[in-house]
Amino acid sequence: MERLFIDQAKATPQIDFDMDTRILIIKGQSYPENAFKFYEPVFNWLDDFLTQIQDERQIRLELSLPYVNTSSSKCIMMLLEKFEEAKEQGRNILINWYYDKDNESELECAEEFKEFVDLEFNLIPC
Amino acid sequence: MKKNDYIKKLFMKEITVLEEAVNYLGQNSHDRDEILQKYEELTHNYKRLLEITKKICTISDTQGTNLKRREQDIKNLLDNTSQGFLTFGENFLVDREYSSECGRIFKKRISNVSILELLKSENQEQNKLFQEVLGGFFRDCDFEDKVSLLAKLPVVIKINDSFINVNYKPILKDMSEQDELSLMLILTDITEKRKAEDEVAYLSYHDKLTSLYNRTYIENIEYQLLSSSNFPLSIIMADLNALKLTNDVFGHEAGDRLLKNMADVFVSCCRKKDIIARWGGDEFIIILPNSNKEDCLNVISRIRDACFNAGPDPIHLSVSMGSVTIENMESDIIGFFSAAENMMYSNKIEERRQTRRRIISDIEKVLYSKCYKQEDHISRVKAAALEFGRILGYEASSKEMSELEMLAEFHDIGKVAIPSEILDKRGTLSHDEWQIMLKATQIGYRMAQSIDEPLLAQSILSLRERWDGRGYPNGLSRNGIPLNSRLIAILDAYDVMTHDRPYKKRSSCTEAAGELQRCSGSQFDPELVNVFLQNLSTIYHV
Repeated sequence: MERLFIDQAKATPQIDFDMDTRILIIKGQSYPENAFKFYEPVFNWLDDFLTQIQDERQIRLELSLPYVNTSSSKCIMMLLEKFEEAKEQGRNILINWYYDKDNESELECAEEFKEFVDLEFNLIPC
Repeated sequence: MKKNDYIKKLFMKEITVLEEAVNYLGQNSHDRDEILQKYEELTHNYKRLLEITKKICTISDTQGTNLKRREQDIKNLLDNTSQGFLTFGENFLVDREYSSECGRIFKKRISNVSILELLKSENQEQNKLFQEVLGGFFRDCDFEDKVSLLAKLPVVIKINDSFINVNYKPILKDMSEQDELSLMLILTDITEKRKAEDEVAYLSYHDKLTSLYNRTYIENIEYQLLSSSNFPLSIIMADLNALKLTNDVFGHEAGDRLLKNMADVFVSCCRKKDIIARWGGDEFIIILPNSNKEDCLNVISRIRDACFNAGPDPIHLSVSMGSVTIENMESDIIGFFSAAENMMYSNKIEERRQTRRRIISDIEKVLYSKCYKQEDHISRVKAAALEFGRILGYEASSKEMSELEMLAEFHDIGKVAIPSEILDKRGTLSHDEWQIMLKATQIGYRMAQSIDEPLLAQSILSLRERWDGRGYPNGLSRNGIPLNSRLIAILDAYDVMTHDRPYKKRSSCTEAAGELQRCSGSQFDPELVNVFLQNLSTIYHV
């Protein structure tokens, strides 16, 4: 399975999902006009990936999203739901969410995402 | 993909659940347990959807608030920089957001107004340039071409009588996934700065007081003056007389007025193309292009007449002048300046006596107009002094007699600088007023010094000294006080006492003589008081 890499653009984050290291990174602002179109390949890649993974080696999702528009928020929730299901199926999942310590609203949003899923979810200031 | 389509995809899972439920309800036969299971499923999904909706609302609101706060912060920064920021795209219409300084500069709301309309001025060429350059900027061409196009635009333009510095910045506006080219104008009102710069430039070449050119200006144009088109070229050097004396006696305000009046006379007597400058403190230079010697002498003559006709303010204008005329091209103009200056000094020495007489006469007139019956007082003291001198053995045409006469004439001259309110005050002078009054002798001293009469100066300064050494200003005593000062002090006191003053009725001759006798040996020289009283009827013809 190939690594998924999408370069960061003005309105979309960088996506770097590496099957070998099992580190999945989403980093940058997310406010595309069509969020689903942007995240659809990410969902597909992740579905394949989670199907293929059968062991308990940790899968780490690294998120740094200073701004997400409403549609992107829904996409991130869909993404988190996929990880939640994978956890229920015995996968070892860790979420690290990085936020700007000087921006209060980033932490508030990250907390909302954290509350949404039942996953090991770290909020890390930077 | 249409917007609705991707929203559908975004909620595909929830839509599928709903559609299944609707389909199920459409079927005719329903098993009770199956209904319950479907209902539980629907409830679970509904709960999840509600949860997602709540989360999304919260996240969206939090981010929205944050964005609004940032927008306000940025707007505050822009609105308080005292610079106008505005942007527009290829339709030339100013975008909705602009800094408040733009409103001040254009004096109206500018969103959706054409930038060409806003920058329009009476300068048609400039209007055309803006149209061409801005049009070209938004047409297809590479970025470097766009930047070099902008370099053709003016950096400073006039908007509503203000001078505005304009900075043109091409910017790519972040429009979601696609950038859009815009042009930002940064406007800085430099009217005040420009005024200050103009003033500095003006002051660096002009004399602030007289508004004439200054020496720096002349030194800068020295070599241009030697252009053949200026020949014959005449130079007048002029020195305003009695400036120091005027400053000393009437104060610097009067001295400044004298300088301004002098400058006005020069301007009124010269042509527009003549260059008039204040060369130094009381010196002026007048450069007359295309003027031969005769023209130059005519200007000098006009200046003299104008000075005479100007009337005293506070004294008559008096100026010493020297001139040179350069007929042909010369390499060194400095030498000619010096020649005119030397001639001016030589004339000044020649005219000295006449100038001095006129200045003194002006000052006396001012004094007579200020002091009650001063002219009569001077004339009586003068006559008495000549008689007193004769009794003391002064020869009629001797130096001593001449000095005594001069002191009698000018003993009160310093009073010219004393305010009338003090001179005419009824009742006793306050301590401060008395201190001012005492200064009259010092002022008289300086006046005599400035007309080169050091002996007279010393005698005036010693008029308030006392025989017992308790006088003013140096506490001189007995014979340390100049003889003429001791003598005039007695005559002055006697004359003042025996004549009406604004503040006191006159005393009788006997009373005045008694007062002199009382103060003899303390205030006055006792020997001179004796001589005076013994010869009172000869010395003083009342």
